[in-house]
This record gives sequence, structure tokens and C-alpha cells, in this order.
Amino acid sequence: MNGKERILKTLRHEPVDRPAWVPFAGVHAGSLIGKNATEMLSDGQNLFDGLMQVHKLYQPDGMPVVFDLQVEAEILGCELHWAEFGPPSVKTHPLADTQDMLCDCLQPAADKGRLPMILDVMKKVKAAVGADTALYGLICGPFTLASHLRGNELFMDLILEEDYVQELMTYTTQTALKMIDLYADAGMDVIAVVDPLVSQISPDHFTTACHTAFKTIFDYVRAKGLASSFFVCGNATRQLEVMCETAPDSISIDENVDMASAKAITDRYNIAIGGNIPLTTLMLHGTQQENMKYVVNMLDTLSHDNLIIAPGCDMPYHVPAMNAIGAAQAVRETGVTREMVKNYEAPKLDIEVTLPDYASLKKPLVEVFTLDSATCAACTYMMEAMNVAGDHYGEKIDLVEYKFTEKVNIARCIKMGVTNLPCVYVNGQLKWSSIIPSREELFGYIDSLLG
Amino acid sequence: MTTIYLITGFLGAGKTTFLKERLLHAPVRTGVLVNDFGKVNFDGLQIKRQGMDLIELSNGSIFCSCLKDNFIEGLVELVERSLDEVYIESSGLADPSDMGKVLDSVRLRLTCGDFTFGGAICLVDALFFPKVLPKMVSVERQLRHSHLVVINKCDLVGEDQLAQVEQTISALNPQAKILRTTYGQVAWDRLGLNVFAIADEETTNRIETRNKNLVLQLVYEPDEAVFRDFLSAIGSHFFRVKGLVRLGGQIQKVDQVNQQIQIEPYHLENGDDPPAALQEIGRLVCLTSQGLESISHLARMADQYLPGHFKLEM
Repeated sequence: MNGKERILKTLRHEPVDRPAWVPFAGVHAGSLIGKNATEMLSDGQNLFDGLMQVHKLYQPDGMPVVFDLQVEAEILGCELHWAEFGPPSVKTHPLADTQDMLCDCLQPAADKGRLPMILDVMKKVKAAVGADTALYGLICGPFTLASHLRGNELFMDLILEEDYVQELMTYTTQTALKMIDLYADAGMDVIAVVDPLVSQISPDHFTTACHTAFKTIFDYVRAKGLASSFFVCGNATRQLEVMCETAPDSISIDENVDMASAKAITDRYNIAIGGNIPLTTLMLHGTQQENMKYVVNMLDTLSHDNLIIAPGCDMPYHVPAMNAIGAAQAVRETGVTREMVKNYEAPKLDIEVTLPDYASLKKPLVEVFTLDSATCAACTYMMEAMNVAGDHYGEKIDLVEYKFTEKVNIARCIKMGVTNLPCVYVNGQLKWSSIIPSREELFGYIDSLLG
Repeated sequence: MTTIYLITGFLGAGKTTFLKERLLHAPVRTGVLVNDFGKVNFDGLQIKRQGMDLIELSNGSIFCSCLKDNFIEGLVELVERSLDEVYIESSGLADPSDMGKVLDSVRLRLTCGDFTFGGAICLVDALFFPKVLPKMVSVERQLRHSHLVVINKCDLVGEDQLAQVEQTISALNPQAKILRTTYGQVAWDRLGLNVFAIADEETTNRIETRNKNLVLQLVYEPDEAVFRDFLSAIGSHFFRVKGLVRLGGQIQKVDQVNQQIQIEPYHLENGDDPPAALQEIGRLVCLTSQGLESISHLARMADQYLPGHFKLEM
């Protein structure tokens, strides 16, 4: 059984010889060929070379071609902020100040934005490794795309402007369908709908605002003879049930969700599940043996049907290649790896962190814990919401972001007892965890603290 | 001097049949501007005849801002060719409430030639009219902005319904002349069109109210009975389904309005180039205004009735 067969059988819920392995190497692929994130995501040759290196080193059963949720947004008029070690983020939102709808004429086509380069690389990768490796075409989910277009106002619209949200979701769903047409023609086997922001709204809001959109997308993918996956990141535990109701072939989660409990839910719907090797604590900062041990433990504790082993989301740029190689080895040669690491003890994190004296603060302290607001869309919008408060209140409050990508902040998270990202603590108390507050709610709370 | 006529009417009311009938007797130097909702302009295919000036505007309404500029440019181009008559066949969902403004813009942009407006003719499907009128604001607008209303398919309904249809139309537009017919046939020379003034309104054709259409391309020839079952299964979700499909080894024209399905052999007119659609097994354009549920429904039904036989595209 080759890798592609293994993936496609898993997504059809058929028995396989072992769980499939899909390393989500987006910008990280650049680190393997000495190119930064911008060079990777804007140059076809670099992208192709990086992907070939991923294929060689990590021996994947399936692999994404481009992991960048801003491709559609860029075409639809969002300005991007390019980063050296992460995918670009959205800088401006064309619908931030208007409820007018965008013209259909702006919708993606093969000659727009970076699509000529991406479609070309997809075809080349297909020709090079597509016979035995399942290729994932990643598209931006309709809710995250709606927030790219509208900005943080979308979270207020969810409460006050349901009809408008429907109209916007219809538009972004059509964008998704057009991307599926294009990626299907370029030879993609699996369409992954990546919607990190879904974890930041309630299941009720998901059902009213998002269900039809995702159901339509997955029905459409199935009708085109392709397989589908629903990627979410952040603490999507509460949303898993309603996500399953949209009937994707698989769901992919990150370390914020407990894999065993999640699998119990997806198994009830006969949906495959993928994930959730921790991105920063393990893949970025851990040792090779820790990565191997973690994956072996996953394989020993989870049932192997409907299972894909993968990083929780797009791997950070600086993940040491040996860590991903270790994870690959654990999936491919589980027995041997189990023996290799059975007596291994992970080194303890030896960093001292001093927390603020919360009882004696002179003004409200807003602490935002993120994976990295520059690279994780859910974190971007959480941070953006807090920055609005920062701009509004100025010197009256203190605002600080702690990125989980830095070891010292991991130590801080442990000391604070932070369990899910992104989240916001105010004066040392957890206030918002994986729910982005509307501006009214946020300002109301800060006003109450200021008296 | 070119005379411009506007032909409106809801999907399936018989605009193309009416126009084809008219073109058989029209002057030699005639131009047609056809506006079809789909990406593939099937109406254009049917009307095209050798040497005729034909402009096709597809994938939206000519009264919507997304196509209006092309519409005006197209009319300017036809008038500047000094044709005798120009017919505009609008899409079934067109709201022509600002036709006056469109004509003013054409006049402003003309560098040569001149025109007069011959009037707006609205086709009505006698059978479906009572069902369609309450649902579609564009149908009411088409009637209110007409000089002549042709009630078509009169053979499909009784006198009571016809009288009711006439009464409803008169209430909406007391000045318009009303004719009854079948197969779109009217004695053009005796129309006596009175082009009375109709005040413009803002059109309801906007980008955000634009209808969705999907293209279903067949890659294998389906079994006709199964294909008919498929059409029945999607009928309730789509205003209109039309296209060319190879069935029983022969190219057939498929035309569906609500649950009424018409499948008949497609014949090329003498001298026509075979359209690209004939090289394929088939291509259907499906139009809906019911949003995402319809797309989802079409995907599921196609997968159920025609598995592996089709490609679906937005």
C-alpha cells in the first residue's frame, strides 16, 4: 500500500496497514532549502524545491502544497504583511467600514494573485510525487475568509447583523468553491478547508452562521470525486460535534484539543481524525526522542482506524528537521522506535519566570497568550481585538502579548496555568479563552475596571 | 436610424422562441444583444444566424452594475453599425427599471448613427405566471416597464386562468397592450406598439442579489431515464436548467423550468459552425437564487444519480 492509497482509504474509512502520516510543512519547507517564508510563498521554484525536500526527508503519505490562508484574501483585495518566518498576515480588510458586498468579478481565477504560481507548482509536484503521495490543496475556510474581509467587526455582526453575515458567508463559500475547482484541475487529491477562527465562536453561532457553508463545501468536494478535511486550530473541543455535522471526510485538530476525546466524537460520525503533535513545546522546542515518544504514545493509546498522525497545524519555520524525521520514524517503524525511546526522560524546562504582583497593579493589565499572532489566524484576530482596546485606552491600561513560540513564555504559561491558546488574562484572571470578544464586550469590561 | 427593442420575460417564458420567430421576418440588417444568466450563452447559440450582428453578454444581468457597462458599450457598437433594428434579449431575471438611463448613456456615447426606442416587450408564461409573480420582484418590474405584454403558452391553461393573468397584468401596468399567443407567434406588422413614457426606477439587479449558477459538465453519456430522474430531483431548487446533452447517441436540447422538463433533438442551422458544446457529452447550466443549499443539493443529487459521470463547476 503506498502513501496515497493509505490516505485515500483512511478518508474513505477503510482499513489500512498503519495510520497515515501527513507533515504540515508550509513555510517550514523553506528552512530545509535555506529560503525564508516570503521567498517560499512567492516563488514557484523555491516552493517546489522545498516540497521535494519535505518529501525526501519526512517520507509523507500525504502533504500540503501551500499552507497559506491569505491566498484568497490577497486576491479579494486584502493587503498582506509579509513575514520572514511565517506565512503573511492580513493587514487591511476591504469590508472593514462597509456592508457592501464585493463584486463576483473579484472571485479567484487561474490568472489572479499568486494562483498562476501555485497551480503550476501543484502540477509539478503531482508529476514528481503524486503517484504515491496524496496531495492536499488547502483553501481558506469561509469563516476565516469572512474575517479577513471584514475584520473584527465580524464578531459584532454575528450578534447584530445575522443577514449580513449570511450574505458574506455565501460570498466566501463561493470563493471556496472556485478554489476547489482550480485545485481539483491542478491534481489535488484532498481538499483541506482550513478555518482556524471556527474555534473562536460558540457552537450555536457555528450552526447558524457556518453550517450551511461548510456542508455545501464538503458536498461539493465529494461530488467532484475528491476527499475532504476540515482543519481547525485552537480549542475547538466544543465545536467538534457541530463540525462533524457538516460531514467532512476528516477533521484535523491541534494540541488544544484532547485527541482521545475528540476521536471518540469523530468515530461516532465515522469521520477520520488527524493531529495533534504539539507544534511549539514539542516540535519546535522538544528533542527528537521526545517527538518519537509522543507519537509512539499516540499510536499506543488511540485506535488506528480513521486515524492520521500529523502536526497540530502548520509547522513553525524553525522546527528542527530531526524532530519531524523522528515523528515520521515513529509512524513508519513504531515497534523499533518504541524500543529506542522507552527509557528516555525529557529534560525539564529550566527557566524561572516572575509573575506580576497582580494584587498591586496601578492600572488594568491585559495579557494575551498566543501561539504567535503573526502566524496563527485565530491569534491574529484575538490580538487585533486587544490592540483596538490598546489604541482606545492608551496609557490607561497595560497590554502585552506572550508568544508560545518562545521558551520563556512556555514557562510563563505553565506558571500561570494557561491551558488553551489564544486566551486573554486581565489582572491575572482568565477572561476570554478561545472566544474573541466583541468590541462592546471588551470595552464594557475594561470600563468597569477603570470605574 | 436604428430601432431598439427590449425583450423581457421570466425564465422559460419564451423570449428566445419569440425572437427567433421575429428574426425570420426581420430586415436584413438586424443586430441582437443576448444576455444569458449562464457562463455558456445557449440563447446566443440558438439565435445565431449567418452574417447577423450578435453580441452575447453572459453570467449575470445586463441591468446589474457588473455587466451594465458592457451592455451600454454593446448597444453603442450595434447602433454605430447603422443597423435597421436591434433586439435586446434580456436574461429571465433582468430588472429593466432603469432602461431609460441606459438609453441616455448610449446616446451620450454615440459617435455616429442614431436610434429610436421601439418599446419593451414582456413575455409571460401563462402556466407558471401565478406561481412566479409573488416570488420574483424582477417579474413585476418587467411588467411595469413594458409597452407590450405577450402572454405565451396560452394552450396550456384554461380561459379562467388566462383572464386572471390578464387582469393581474392590467392592474400592474394599465397602459400596456396585452396579446395572447402560443409558441411566441405574433403578427409583428400589426403590433402597433405605443411607446408611452415610463418613469425610471432603481433596478433591483445588484451584485449582492445576483443569482448563482453552476455548470454541470457530463463526461460520460448518461442513461436517459436516470438523467430525467436527476433533473426531477434538482427541479425544486433551480429556476432554470438548460443546456445540450448527448442522450441515446444524439445531441438533445434540455430545458427545464421548475418541474417542467423539455428534452428535444438539437439541430444545427444551415451554415452554422458547430458550437463547442457539441464536442462534449453535455453541459448544463443550472440557475438558482436559493443560495448555498441549492449548490449542496445539486452536488448530492449529481453524486447520487450520475456518479463518476460529471464535473461540477461554479
